[in-house]
Amino acid sequence: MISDRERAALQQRQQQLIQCVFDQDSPCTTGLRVYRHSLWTNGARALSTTYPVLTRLLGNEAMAVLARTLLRQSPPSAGDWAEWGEGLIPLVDSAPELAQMDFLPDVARLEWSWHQVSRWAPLPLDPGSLNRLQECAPEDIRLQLSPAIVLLRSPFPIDAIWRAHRPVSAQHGQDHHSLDLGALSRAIAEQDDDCFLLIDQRRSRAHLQRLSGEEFQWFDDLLRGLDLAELLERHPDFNFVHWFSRAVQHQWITHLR
Amino acid sequence: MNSKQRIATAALALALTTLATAPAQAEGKEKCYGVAAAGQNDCGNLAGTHSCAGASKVDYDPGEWKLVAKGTCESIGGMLKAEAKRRYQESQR
Repeated sequence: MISDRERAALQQRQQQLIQCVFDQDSPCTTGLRVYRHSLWTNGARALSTTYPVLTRLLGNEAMAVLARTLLRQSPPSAGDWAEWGEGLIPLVDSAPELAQMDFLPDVARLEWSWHQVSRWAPLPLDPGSLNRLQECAPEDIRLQLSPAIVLLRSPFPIDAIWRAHRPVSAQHGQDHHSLDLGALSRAIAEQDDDCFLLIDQRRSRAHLQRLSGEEFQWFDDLLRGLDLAELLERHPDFNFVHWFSRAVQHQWITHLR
Repeated sequence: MNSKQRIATAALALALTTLATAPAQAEGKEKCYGVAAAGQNDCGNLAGTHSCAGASKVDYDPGEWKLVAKGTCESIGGMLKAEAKRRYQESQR
């Protein structure tokens, strides 16, 4: 058993350690600075794992600076580094130094979504609920989209940018500064409409595909909770039969209600 | 039966065909080696060089594992533990 006084002293030392590690402006002994640097290194590595394309576009040094800023603004709240890093999106969006690369926040959003979908457990479809298609009026049928898919819309061709800059090597540390400006300008020049994207899981891995504007709007109306009759009225040319088969196959929906 | 109801019934018929031809997936999870992206492994590796989730350095390292739905490991290009261990031991000779 330790006394109250000893407990208070331990708590104070613990607090000092946390402050030293997380607060870059707090005074720190040389020994304890090792922990601070370890935090920075782990933070930068976590971001480069989650955002490999951003790392390639910006370079390791810029990512290290962003990691330090993000660690100060929103330190990790869980032991798993893979759960940390969503705050990079608003950070990139608000950084004046990056204002010229206005597509970066959307690329960051794509990378975070890809990272999330890669980690989510797939939610199986409730096959029994499909019978509602036969037993209920379309006005009484709603399709429940799986929370394990992500829809993205961007004025930039972020899928092309992402594909063109994904590291080809398994070693994430290589070729980070080789920004392919040609591929980037070609991708942006070829874009004449918004980019509509769906990220889902195929065989336990994340999968990215481009959607037509019509299909994206269909998904959007589903998310708004329209019933099947309303959906078919709003999308008279949409091939629901074919889409529903793919939705079942790729587990875009979890059940009908 | 109105046109919307007909569409719904046709969608059900095709969806049931899709379900019938989809591979059945067993319940539960299993350790699958060689499928984890760098930093995305679930725990310690075969080499014993780390014991932490998220500590792998390269994509699809055969010594790293992550949990996947039971029965799906080999179909996504991974190895179950016995096979992964055998290959690891061979690589150490």
